[in-house]
Amino acid sequence: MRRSHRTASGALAAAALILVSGCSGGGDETASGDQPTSASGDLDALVADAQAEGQLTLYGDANETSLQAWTQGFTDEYDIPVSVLRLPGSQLFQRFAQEQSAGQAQADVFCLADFASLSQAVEQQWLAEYTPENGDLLPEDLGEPGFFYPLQNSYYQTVTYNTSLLSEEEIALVQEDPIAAAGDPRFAGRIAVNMPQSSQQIAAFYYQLAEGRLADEYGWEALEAIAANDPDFLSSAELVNGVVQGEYALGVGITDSLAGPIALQGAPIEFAYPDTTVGGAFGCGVVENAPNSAAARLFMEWGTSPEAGARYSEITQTNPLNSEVEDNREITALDWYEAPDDSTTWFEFVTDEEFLGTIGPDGDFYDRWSETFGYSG
Amino acid sequence: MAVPTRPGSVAGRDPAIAPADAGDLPVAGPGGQRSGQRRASVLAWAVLLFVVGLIVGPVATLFYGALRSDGPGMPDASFSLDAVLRVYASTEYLGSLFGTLALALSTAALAVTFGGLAAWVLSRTDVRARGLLELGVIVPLFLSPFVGAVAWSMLAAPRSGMINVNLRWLLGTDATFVDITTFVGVMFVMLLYYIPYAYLLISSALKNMDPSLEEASYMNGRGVIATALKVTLPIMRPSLAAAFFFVAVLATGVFAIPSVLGLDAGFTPLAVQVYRATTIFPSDPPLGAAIGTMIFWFTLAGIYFYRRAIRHGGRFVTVGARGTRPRLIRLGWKKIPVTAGFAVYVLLATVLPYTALVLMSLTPFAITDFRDLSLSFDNFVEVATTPDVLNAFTNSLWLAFLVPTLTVVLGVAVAYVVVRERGRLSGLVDYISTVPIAVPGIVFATGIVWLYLRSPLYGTLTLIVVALVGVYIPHAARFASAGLIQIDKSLEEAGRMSGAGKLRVIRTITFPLLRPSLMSAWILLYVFAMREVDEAVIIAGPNSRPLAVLAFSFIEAGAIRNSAVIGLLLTLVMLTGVLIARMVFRVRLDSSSL
Repeated sequence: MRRSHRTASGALAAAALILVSGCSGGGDETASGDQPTSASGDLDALVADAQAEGQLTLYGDANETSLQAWTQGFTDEYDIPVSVLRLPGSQLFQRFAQEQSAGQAQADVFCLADFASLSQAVEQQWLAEYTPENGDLLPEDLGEPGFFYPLQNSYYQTVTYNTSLLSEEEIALVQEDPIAAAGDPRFAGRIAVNMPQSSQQIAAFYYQLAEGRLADEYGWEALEAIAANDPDFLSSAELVNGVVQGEYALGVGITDSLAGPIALQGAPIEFAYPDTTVGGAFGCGVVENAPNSAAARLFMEWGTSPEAGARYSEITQTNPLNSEVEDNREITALDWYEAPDDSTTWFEFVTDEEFLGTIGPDGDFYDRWSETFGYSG
Repeated sequence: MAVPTRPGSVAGRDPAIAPADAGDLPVAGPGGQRSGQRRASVLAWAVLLFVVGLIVGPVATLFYGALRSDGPGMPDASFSLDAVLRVYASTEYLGSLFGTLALALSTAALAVTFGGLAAWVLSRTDVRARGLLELGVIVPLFLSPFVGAVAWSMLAAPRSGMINVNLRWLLGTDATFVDITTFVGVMFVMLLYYIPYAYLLISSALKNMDPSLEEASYMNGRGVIATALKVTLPIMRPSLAAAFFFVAVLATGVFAIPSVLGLDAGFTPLAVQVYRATTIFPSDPPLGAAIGTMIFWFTLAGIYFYRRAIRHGGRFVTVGARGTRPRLIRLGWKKIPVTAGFAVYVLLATVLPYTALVLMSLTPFAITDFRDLSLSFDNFVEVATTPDVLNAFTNSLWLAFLVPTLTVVLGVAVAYVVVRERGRLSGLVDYISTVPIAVPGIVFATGIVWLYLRSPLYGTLTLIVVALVGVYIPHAARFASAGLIQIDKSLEEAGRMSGAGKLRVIRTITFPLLRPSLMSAWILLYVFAMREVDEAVIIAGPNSRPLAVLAFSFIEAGAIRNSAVIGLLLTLVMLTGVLIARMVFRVRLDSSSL
């Protein structure tokens, strides 16, 4: 009897441990202390420290296959394996913010397309200060020098179509003006659209057409015309699959970084950029209290190098941002491909107060878009 | 003559995939009141503490999260009723609610109809190859519904699905033959994966039913149909109701199938709304939690009706005075259409989805026109060289070993307390351990993440294990209860009289006698843990992602081909485990062993 009580007490203790572990007030706060804010020319020491840590964790919202293939380059060079956690941007930032607030840093490098969230991360001191030696090779206005840099190039919103489902005339129409084409009655029942709730960039894509700088040319009327074609609503990845598979002739709001590599694989898709499309970049920075802070800093050194930029450009077929990387993308050789004009592309939505206001909690943009399209999700 | 027994002396076998339930266990009998005055044992308190930690904690945290202005743990988050008011005090989610309930209830009704018919045919007719047919019915349990949904999306998308595209050129028409994105289409795919649950619950009850009642009907000149309708059906009604509510509860919380198929029926199911609330821009975790609580109330009601039905079902479970076997009805020529019916189900639930998966895994992108197929093993090479795959594979194996093992041990403890100790505390344990069925995986996982955010378990594989043990307790406890009530208590009492402690008695007497039931439970939970997505997709950290979550990520990245490869790999691992269990441990995978 005594023995059974002892064993049961052990079970009680174990149960208590479960409860306590669930309620305990904080995990290991891996205090990084005063991390160096640059490699100070001693890259060898940084490499040695990073290899001693032996691993790296990267959080990102670019697509899984691209992130895996790109970070493999870092592993190949430094023999440091990279674990990738890929989630939709909004969910990823929420998770990251919760972890940092709870002193529960899991990521070493944090990459996100949403500039405003990255700025918030800097403000909240969730990103550590670090300046890579090649940081000045990347455009300042697409990052926040000293904290996060646009390591993963720029990507743009497109209208993507399935060539086997469109006539020559229809393809010409889309190439001429993709937005007007999407509202053409001949595409009724054949299109799908990405929702502005999917990401800040796709919200900016619709905003500039409806209320922003292209409102005079398009306005809400252009979106109403697209809505009149009875589109389905899908996220970017689902949308590109739908167009590739032939479920939809036309997909509005697909990033070129998703569509480009699939087009190169031989899928029957092409895409067109609206004349003044929306563009953005994934910013990456070192996480404050990163479990592997040396590996994180080394990754930033690698990520800002021309080799890493070229690698990312090759994998995703996106326009290289690193000033020392030549644009050798295969996709540029395709006869239908016409690169977007960076001088007219809207990158500044990330700081545009009017735009940020209308998609904020007090704005009505999402409601109006949903009402226009009859979207209830 | 058959002797109806008090629930306290039931020796029947209980449904396989069902929670431990006081209703048909001894605790529900009048004796329960008397024994309820016993002092609760230390074991009972320990089990209570475990189930509170594993189940009540996450659910309570979810309710707490619904009352915050931002996710728990976020800076500046404060008490707020916004999310709750938006969900409960507006009409915004009414459409989703009604649509979700309609989808769940119709799926449950059809699953019970087809599952019940299959159970009746296999237990009451002379149909041939009974073992093979039964295997065909329950095999979809071993497929991930999520992977199945991906496959059906490729098969039956209205414009580009393999069935439509190829029938069009074969028949020279523009017609759309099937559309999987409609209400009926989504319900059809859900049905394929819920029929096995209904079948197991009903089949088990049919086997427990005293066949002499049917025999008496035949002796009185009633025919097959009249006997089935006037005798079998009324007796089976509580079990059918139990199966209906059980499937309805599961279907209410389903996320993966409508999410993958892109339901186009004018509403978004509530569980998909929960996921969207956390993934759209800007994310709104309290809203997701509030929607989760709304689902909870309805599934809790379903659980109440389920327990009630089971309790009534217990009244009809009998121990035959003689070993009467049911009379097998001669089907004659009808064997052919009946067998064909089973074959159609196997075709739809297993053969077609796997054919689509294999084709997807061999093509460079989604090609559905068979005239354009270009096959290679490049995707297998690509997946094999993906850095995270090996780690994910290892994680899946750990989950598949740890989750069933720990859950079965805890399930035995729960069942022991509920069946053997009785009393108020055991009633409480029984109730709490049923709750996970009422909480959709994605909702439960959100509570787990918030609860353990500040603990060292956060982001680890251990946390996924903790979550899944909580989720699967009802299943393990059910198996253990079903076995336990068949073991004569005097064996354990003899052990106690000889000086052994309670845990020693459990370890040396009860556990070995329960072994067949527990092995069945283990193998089923092994499969569930291997294929699990709903919880793990929310909880997993960068180093703890299992294969199923990696497959989900590939889908979200537009790489369906890679997801198909992983789906096949998962199936291979599951089948290997099941075959080892069958060959080495002789675990049978039919309703009599489950």
